Formats: sequence, C-alpha cells, structure tokens
Amino acid sequence: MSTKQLAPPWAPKLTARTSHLGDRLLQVLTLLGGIATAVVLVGVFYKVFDQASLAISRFGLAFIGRQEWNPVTGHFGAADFLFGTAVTSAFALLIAAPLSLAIALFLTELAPRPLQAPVGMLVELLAAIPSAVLGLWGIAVMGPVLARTIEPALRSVLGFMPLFSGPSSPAGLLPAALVLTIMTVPIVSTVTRELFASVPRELKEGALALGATRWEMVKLVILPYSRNGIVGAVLLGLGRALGEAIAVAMVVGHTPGIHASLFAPGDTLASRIASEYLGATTTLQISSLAYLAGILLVLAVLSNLVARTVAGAAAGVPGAVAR
Amino acid sequence: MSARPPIKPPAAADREPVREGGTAAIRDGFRKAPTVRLRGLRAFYGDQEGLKGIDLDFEANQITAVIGPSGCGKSTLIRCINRMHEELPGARSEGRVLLDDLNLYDPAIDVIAVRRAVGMVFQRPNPFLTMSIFDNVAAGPKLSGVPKRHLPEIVERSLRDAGLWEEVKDRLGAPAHALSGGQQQRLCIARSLAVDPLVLLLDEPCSALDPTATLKIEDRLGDLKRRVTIVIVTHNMQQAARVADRTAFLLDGELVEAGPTAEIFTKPRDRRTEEYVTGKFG
Amino acid sequence: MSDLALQARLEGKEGHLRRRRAVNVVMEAAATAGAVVAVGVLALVIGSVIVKGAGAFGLDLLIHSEVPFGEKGGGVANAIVGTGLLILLATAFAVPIGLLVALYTHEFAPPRIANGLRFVLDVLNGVPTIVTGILVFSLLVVGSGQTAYAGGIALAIIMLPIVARSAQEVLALVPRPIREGGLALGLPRWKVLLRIVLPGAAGGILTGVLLAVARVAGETAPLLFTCSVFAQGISINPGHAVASLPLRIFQLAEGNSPEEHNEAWAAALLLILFVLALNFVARYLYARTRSRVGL
Repeated sequence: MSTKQLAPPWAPKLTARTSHLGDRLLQVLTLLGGIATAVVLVGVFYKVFDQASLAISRFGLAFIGRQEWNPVTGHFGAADFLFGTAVTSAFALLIAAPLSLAIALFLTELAPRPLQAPVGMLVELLAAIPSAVLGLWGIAVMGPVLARTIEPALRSVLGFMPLFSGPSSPAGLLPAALVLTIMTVPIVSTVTRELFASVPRELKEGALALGATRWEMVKLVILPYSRNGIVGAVLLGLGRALGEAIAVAMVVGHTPGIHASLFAPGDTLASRIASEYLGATTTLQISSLAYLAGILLVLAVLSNLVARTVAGAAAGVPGAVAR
Repeated sequence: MSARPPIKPPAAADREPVREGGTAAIRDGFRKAPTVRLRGLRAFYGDQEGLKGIDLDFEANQITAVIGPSGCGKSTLIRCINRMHEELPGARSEGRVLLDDLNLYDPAIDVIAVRRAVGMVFQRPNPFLTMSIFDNVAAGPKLSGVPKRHLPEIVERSLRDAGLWEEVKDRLGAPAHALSGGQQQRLCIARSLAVDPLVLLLDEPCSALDPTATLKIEDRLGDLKRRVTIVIVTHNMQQAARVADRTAFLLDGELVEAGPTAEIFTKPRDRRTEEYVTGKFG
Repeated sequence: MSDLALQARLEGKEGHLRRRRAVNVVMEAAATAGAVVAVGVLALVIGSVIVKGAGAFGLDLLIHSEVPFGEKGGGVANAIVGTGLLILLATAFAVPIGLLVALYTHEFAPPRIANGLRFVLDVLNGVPTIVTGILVFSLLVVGSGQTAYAGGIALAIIMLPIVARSAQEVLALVPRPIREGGLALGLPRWKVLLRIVLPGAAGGILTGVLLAVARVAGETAPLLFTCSVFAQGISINPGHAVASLPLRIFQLAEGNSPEEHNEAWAAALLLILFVLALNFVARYLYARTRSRVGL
C-alpha cells in the first residue's frame, strides 16, 4: 500500500512524481513503444535510401529524368515509371474528386435520413476490397469490357485527342487508372462527407433564407467553407493512389515507356517494384529499384504531409463570428 | 382559393431589375407593404406539435414583436412565414400564411420566390465569411441575375438602410469575418434588404450583441418599416416596448394575446400575459 | 405592389428563377448519379466475385492445398491456414506496441512529444505497403530467407498506426472523473490505467484491432517480398514462409489456365467474405461503444 498522500480528484499531477515501481515500469514500457514506432518510421527511410545509395551515387538525380530500364546493360532511369504513376494517379483523381464530392453532397444534403448510413457504409466498403481481388476483377471482367467496348467507343468519339487514340488492349494505363479510381473514391468521399456534415446549419440557412436553391447554397456556403479540407482529402486520395502496387501491377501491362495514349500499356513506380524486386539479379538493379522506392516513398509521404497541413490548418474559416 | 387565371408578369417588374418591388411602388421612401396573416397555422417536428393553431395578423408597414418564454414556438412561427421550417428533416406545417390574400403555401407558389419576398435575419450573425462585404450584400441580387453594373448602387443602398455604410464604405472588399459581431449582423440585414423583400423577419437579432450594437439596429428598424412589414421575435421585453407597434404573446405553441404594444405591457387582457410581462416566469 | 404583380412574383414565373431551378435539378441528379455509380461499382465487383467464386467453390477447395503446377485438383487450404497464421503474428506484434504507444501519448508524454508521435503515426500510415515490404525484406529476409515472422512483422507495421490511433481516440473518451477517482483512492497510476481505464476503452480498442485486421487480411504487397515463396502443403511453422489468400489470388490471377482463374475467384470470394465480415463486426462494435459512452 502506498504511503503517499491521497490526492484531491482535480489534481492528479500531484501523484505524477511517483516512484512506485509499477508506474515506472509502465512508463518505460510505453516509452519503448513510442520509441519503437519512431524507429520503424526512421528505419523505413533509412533502409530504402541505404539500399538505393549505389544507384544514387551511380546515376544521381538524373535518374529521375532518364527514360531507360535495361538490367542487361545496367542503365536505369525512373522517367517511364514516374510517367505511369503520374498519369494513372492524375486520371484517377480527375474522376474520383468530382465523383467523391457528388457522393458526399448526396449523403449530406439529398439522401433521406434512413438512407444516409447504409449508403455511406456501402461507399466505405469499396475501400475494403482487397487489392488482389480488385486486380483479378480488373483482369478478368473490366479489362475485356474496356478493350472490346469502351475503348473503341472512346476512340470513335474522342479519338482526335492523342489521349484516346491507338490500339485497345485489356491491360494498360486506362484500366490501371480506373482501378485506382475505385480505390480512391471511398477515402476522398468519406473525408469530404465529414467535412460537409460539419458545416454549421445557420450558415446554410442564411443562404436558403436569401432565396437560394439547394445547389446555390452549396456553392455559396458548403464548398467555400470546406475548400481547404477538400484539397486535403484529395491529397490523401493521391497518397493512396501513388502507393498502390498490386492491383495496378495486375492490369497495367508491365511495359515501361511513355506514350500519349491512355490505352497503351505502361508501368508505375509501385508496380515495377512489385514485379521486379524479387527477381532482380544485379545489385545495381536492386539498388535502382530501391531508388524507385525512395522516390515513391517521398512522393507518398509528401502528399500526406501537405494534406495534413492544408486541411488541418483551417477546418473552417479563420476568425468565424466575432463576439 | 385558386380561382385566379394564370397571368404574365407585368412589364414593369421585368424592366426594373434594380428593385424587384418596382421603383414605382416607392414614393418618398414609403411603400405599401403587404399584411401578413396566419390562419390556423400548425407546425410539427415529427410527431411533436410546436404550433397548435395560430390566427394572427401582422399589420402592413408596422413592427410586430412576438414574445414568449423559451420553447413557446416564436422561432417556429416566423420560420413558417418564410417557409424555412420545412427545411428541417421531419418538419412540416399546416394552415395558411397569407401575404395580402395570397397563400404562401399554395402549391402554385415557388418557395424560392417566397424567400426573396420574405427576408430573414437570424439570431447569430451568419454572413458568408469567405466573401467580402460587397459580395455578401450582392449575393442575393446576383443570384437572380441582376446585371453587374447595378450592383454597386444596390449594395450602397442596402448598407445605408442597415446603418452600416459609413463604417465600411472604404473597405467593401474586406472579408466579412473582419467585422465585429454587431457589424456582421447589420451586414446580414443589408444582405436581406438587397433583394428588396416585402416582409422582414428578425429572429432575436440582437441577443448575441452588446447594447450599443443593439440600439444601432433598433434605430434602423423604425425607418425600414416604411417599406417593409417587420416581425421581430424577442425575449427582451424592453426591446419590444422600444421598437414594436404591436406585440403578440405566445405560450406553449398557442397565441395568448396580441395587440398594440402599450396595451400588452400596461393593460394585458389575459392573466398569463400579465404574469409574463411582469416577470413572474420565462 | 399590385396584387397581380405580387402573385406573379411569388409564382416564380420569371425566366431566371426557372433556369435556376433547372440547374438545381440537374445538380441534384448529378449528385444522386454519383452515389449510384459508387454503389453500382461495389455491387459489380462483389457481384462478380460471388457469381464467379461460387461457381468454382467446393469442399475440395477448402480441404486441399495447392498442387504442383499442371496437376488437377488442389485448393487453398494452405492459403487459408497461412493467412490465419500471419494475422495472428501480425496482431501479436502490432497490438501491444500500438497500445503502448497510445498509452504513452495519452498518459505520460509531454505535449510536444505526444504530437510528434501522432505525426509519426500519421506518416507511417501513409507509407506505401510495398515499401514496407522492402524494409522488412532487407532487415529480416536477406540472408535468412522468407519466413512467416517476416510477413507478420510487415503486416504489423501496417496495422500499427491503425491500432494506435483507435486506442488513442478511445482512451481520450474515457471520462476524466473515472480516472481521477481511481487516483484519489490512492491507486498507483499503472493500476488505474490497467484496471480502470483500459477496460473502459476495451470495446473501442477491439474495434480498432478488427479494422486493422480487416485491412491487412487483404494486403498482398507487404507479403510479396517477405512471405511469398512457400512449399506446398499446410504449414504453421512461422520459421518458414507460408501461403496466404491474397498472394494466392495474385499468383493464380497471373496464371493462364481457366482452372487457375476459377480457383482465384473462389479464393477471392473467401477473402472478401472474411474481410466484409470483419468490417461489419467492427462497425457494429463501434456503434455499440459509442452508444455506451453516450455519443
């Protein structure tokens, strides 16, 4: 039984300086947990760049712009994969962002009360689909439909743009982008939905009482209020899209190269790593793959950080209502 | 009620974008505003009845105060007049709200148009915080397609009517959140006035403000009633005594008594009214 | 204003109002369409899995393990067992550390360090899973070979931020008076935490764990380098690499024969059912915990 004085309930800090063994032990243990966590994060960065160091010293930053990947001759460059990553992620976000906004608006403003929770849950469940399953569906179901029906249709309507020209194929940048869209929508729409739901009712009523239609109210109140948060949500989705390796690897066509057409096969940073890392033969190849991983890591973490800064900085509007 | 033939809007209203009411209607700053009549008005929140059948008149070009203890239905009542009550999920109403003799709940009537004809100022100031002062006031007219060149005039006139012009005329581009609470509330009044409503509803507009700001607003109301029928919900009886021509006392969703303000406060006919105004409850 | 003009005004017959109403209808339709598309895609994917997977389903599938390439028969029994083992390992690593971190930030850490750790957890959450695989590979697999331990640790790293975050949230929800009451009774902090606070937060922590498990049960990338080359046949030896459902699906899908694809669909059906079940249980628990705390 401890011999220290009983502390009044509002001053727990009086007991903070205890020398009780159990407290000490717990404190040390939890501190170890914290240290372990930090070590893991630091470890990820350290190990990746350590492994990449050979390639970094050999190729330098020019690696980022080099469009070559030849394990035989030992010439490596990230450009093809950066292109693939950029195109698939950008395209995915281009579709996912407005789609997610629409879903979030539907759930917060249009859906009847009893529908809100179930439909919201269904959208969130999209995120629960494992990548390998989505990839399987992409290969076996979506790919053939794209190649036989949708891509020809797109070509006939929009073929004047290089983006939609060229031969159709079941694997390529377009299926990869679509798969990424499916994975990104749940994240962006869930975060945005929470944003919209937190818009104060009186702001919305101010617009409605002025004689605005529901859509005008959205434009006047909801969207400006949530502007920063929406950017943050989209960036979170970007982080997800950048890092997806498996589903993309299954449908992207595994062919490095920069083409103008979305129908062409390609490759992304993550999917190239996934497909080649284990089978890599030379240390330079492994190191170059690690270099790719380093670039990917930096991009993903950056977009995460920017999301935090942008969305965390302003949940609403600075200043709010002065009293 | 719907024996009226469909009519084309008169040319005057079409060609007068600057004032929706039509400049012809305003002479020497006076316009004959409509009378608002409530007949058998009942309001529900789901199964709960908030208003139990109200028959009440708000005289044209006068300020009527609606007083009563918390929860008596004052806010519900005015929200039924501009049809904001139905925006709440599960809320509905029955009965008639007449503007002169047009029923605002008639199916042929467009609720958006109702809200432009009947303006509302809320308890806590709610300007569009990301927008400038100018854009706040101009928001309403812009929605109805008023040409840009008319906007500065409308904005100035509305800000003057709300008693805010002198304080902001040099910084119309400043964001709304830079204003104090009292200024923001006057901004909201200006915003409502910019669409030229015929009726103005104020839901405890000064309850979040300090006395100076309150007086500034009350000062404007006397002038505004020359163009607009005004209904003000207030829990502050001194305020009702200061500004209102008529007063209505609500209790538990029912109208207890209504009449000239002086009578309500000095010679109330109902005992409950007397108890409320002398501070025995509420 | 004349009566007729007022009526016309209120009936909203002027051109502008009509157009604004039309725009509003279009936008509302677009928003609804968006929701329909999302739910539709979900139905499409899950529907495909159910239809194609059910077709290939059979008891054989569940009982047998994979067979050498080219042979008939075979199933995913080893993958099921392997996934189970991996989840067990991952949970065993992630939950204690996650709880400890959460306790540290909640109870002991000075505010700056607590914020720093929250930051670290957030960043960790955003690390691509394939990169996590590289980390564990270079630390544990190089030289010694793939093991279920390695796979479990890779999965644990992914689970860690999720478990820690949920634990943090739920710990913060435990009302202060409960904690302070314990302290006032003279109980040492560690007893208050372990005997009073943690049990109160248990439901939420369990939810977090379930959600984390649901997330990693479907992960393939972290296992690709750490636990993907395995002997056929059921194995529960964590010192060796084991099969896992998501990896099996990945491998079968890349295969060319219809049998392999069929098996892939069946395995996908199993995996999806498992993940969805976990999700539902987690949600149910979440709702129950919130209602208990009075939210």
